[in-house]
Amino acid sequence: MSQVHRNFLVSGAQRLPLALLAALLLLGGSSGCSPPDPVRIGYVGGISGRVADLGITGRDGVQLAVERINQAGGVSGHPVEIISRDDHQDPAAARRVVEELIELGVSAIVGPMTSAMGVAVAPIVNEHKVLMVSPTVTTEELSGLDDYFFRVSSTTGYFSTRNAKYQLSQKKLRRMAAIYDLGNRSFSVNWLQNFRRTFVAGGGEMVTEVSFVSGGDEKYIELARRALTSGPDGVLIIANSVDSALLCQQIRKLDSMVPITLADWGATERLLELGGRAVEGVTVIQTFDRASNNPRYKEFRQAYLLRFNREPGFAGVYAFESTNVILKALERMEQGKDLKQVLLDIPEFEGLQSSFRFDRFGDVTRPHASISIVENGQFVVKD
Amino acid sequence: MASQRPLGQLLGIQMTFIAVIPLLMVALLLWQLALPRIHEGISVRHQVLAGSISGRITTLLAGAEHELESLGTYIETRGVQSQEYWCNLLDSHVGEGEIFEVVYLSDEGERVEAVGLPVSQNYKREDMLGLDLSLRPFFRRVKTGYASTWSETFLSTISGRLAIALLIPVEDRVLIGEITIEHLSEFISFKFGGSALLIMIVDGDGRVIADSQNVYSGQSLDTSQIPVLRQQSPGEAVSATAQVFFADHEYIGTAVTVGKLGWRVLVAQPSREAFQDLTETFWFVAAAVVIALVLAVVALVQALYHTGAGDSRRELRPAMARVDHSRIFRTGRPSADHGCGNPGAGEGIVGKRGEIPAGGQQCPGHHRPDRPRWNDRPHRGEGAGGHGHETGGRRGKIVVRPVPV
Repeated sequence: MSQVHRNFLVSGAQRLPLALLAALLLLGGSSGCSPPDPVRIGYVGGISGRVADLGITGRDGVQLAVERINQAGGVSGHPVEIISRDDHQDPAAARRVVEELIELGVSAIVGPMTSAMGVAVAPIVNEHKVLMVSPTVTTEELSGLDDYFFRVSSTTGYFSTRNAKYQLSQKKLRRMAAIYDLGNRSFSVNWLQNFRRTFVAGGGEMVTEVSFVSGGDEKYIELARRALTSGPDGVLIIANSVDSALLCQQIRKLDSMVPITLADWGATERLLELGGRAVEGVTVIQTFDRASNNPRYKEFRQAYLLRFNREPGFAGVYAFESTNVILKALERMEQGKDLKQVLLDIPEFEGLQSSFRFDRFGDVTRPHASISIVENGQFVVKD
Repeated sequence: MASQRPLGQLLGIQMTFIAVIPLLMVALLLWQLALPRIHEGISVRHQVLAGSISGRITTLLAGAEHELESLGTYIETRGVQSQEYWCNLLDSHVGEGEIFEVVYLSDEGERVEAVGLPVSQNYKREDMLGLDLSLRPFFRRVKTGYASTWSETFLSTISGRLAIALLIPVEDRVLIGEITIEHLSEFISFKFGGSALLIMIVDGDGRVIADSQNVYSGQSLDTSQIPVLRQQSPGEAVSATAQVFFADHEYIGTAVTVGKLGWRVLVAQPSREAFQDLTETFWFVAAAVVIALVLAVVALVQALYHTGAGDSRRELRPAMARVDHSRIFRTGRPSADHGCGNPGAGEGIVGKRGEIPAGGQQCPGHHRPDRPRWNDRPHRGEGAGGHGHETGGRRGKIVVRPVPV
């Protein structure tokens, strides 16, 4: 039967209850049951603007997880539907779209992708008791809270402390300058505080700290000049990938040798594209290993590349894992039970690169954080 | 041997045929004649619309290409000039950013030698000068072909918005114009946002560049599941109209390729809306036939209820006559039961024609104690021996069989 002919019959049957009655009578009441209602999962992330690489890659990870579960028959026979919304990296917009998703009846939400948005929307999901699992929010502002906000990434404290120790012990840096983005204050300030505490405690000194707001009118070359004025041993950049790449380019115009290190936020594939040769030698800390030999990761990466024609990066991997966490909890959902409690009752999750478990606050500590360095346009794990 | 089939079933089959055959004929005609025409009409309308949008995009991009090529030619003729000279020249082509968001002139080292920016972005010039473009995906592409090249879509460094780049080699340098394409979404949603039509512009990777409902922009479609969006071979301008699904909604859609970019414009219409007239016609006919059938059945039941006794009697007369003959043989007198009719008919229980329930055997007002009862009658094989009729072995039951001719 041609598709068009099928359209004709199917759409007709949907159109008219009377027609359905007629069809039932004519066919001896042999009609099938209506398809089960879909399970809706929301996604919120910055899918436009300067952090769009994180948001888009994350959304694609969610999409891949949902496509897979639907191919396997859905959640307890129910197809899964994603409702995706752009938070525009604006707290007000993020709150609005999260409320919209809740109104649309989502079972849970994946996202947001940045800490500032996480802090903005956490009160809303707590108020409505809707589970939210963030792939990449790492701020400690949301740590240790018995709430509905979960995440699959380690906190900034873990990353920044580890990075500071590496700069002291391996790079032998003692005088650091920092450039950080106040547009994602809850992440960047928290990151910087933890870095500073460890670095100073280890005998180092923060000689300059320069803040800016992403997308503002400030010249990046000026930010670089200010950071380098005091002659630091190294420069720490806490910013998204676009800003990090552009800042690296400005720093390299002024000083071709000074070591640069980045917060995990900026370490996406886009940093490599936009940074070009200026990001060669830059170090970054991540719990995500692009060279992982875990078969689950390798299979996922291949599928992601085939489907989206680009690397998943940490955002794609963690978004995929966040979605699977929710789907697993939904599969185990029992009548009258809270999805959050179901999730907490699951002892361990099989991640793409390693297993992980939530503590009672919905936080995760990933083992094996590593320092990567950019070599020949690629992240290479060094330590 | 004739099969045993109650008369009610025969009538039911006849009624069903009466109802179904016209319906099947209507369906067949709609299916084979009307549907292809409607489908063709939809396809043509979609193609016209998609072609119009595609043409608009092609015109816009062709204009940009022509402008950048002219600029490239001019730069070649100017030889060595100062950075300021080139920046002023490029700025004049960018203007307020109506078409180009930014124009770079890269040196042989793949660094930005000069940049043209919209007036509002002029403060970024110092940041842009000297930028290393070597790992930008579009730059890698032009290096392989080294001819005028359109890039895939990417996020603009300047605005963070979706953009494409056109690269024109200028001797050992490259002129790069970034064109933001976000306004395509604005244009489409403004133009078609209120309609039920779903218009999408999809790039070569299956990523939605723009959509009229502002829902799918930026999403990657699994084009392996959407045949109409599969990559067309070069020169193939129009793909077939086919069924597509978005968010569990079924559409009939037509895709048209946009020039040499490998993009496709998809115009899709909800199937139920596209075939609404036809399906309503069909299902109304179906409903009418069903209603007519139900009414006919009701009328039949009523007719049988009121006159079924006479009909049954006529039907049963030969059998009863044979029974009487056997009685005459046995008793030597005819039955007084003739003309009594089927005693059960008046009670409305001739559901299966020819079945006479035991409880309704007596003829009211004609009962005679010495008269033989139905259950006194000879059993099968006795008496008349059956020419198409037989008395059943069960108590008081007569099964009527069609008489073979």
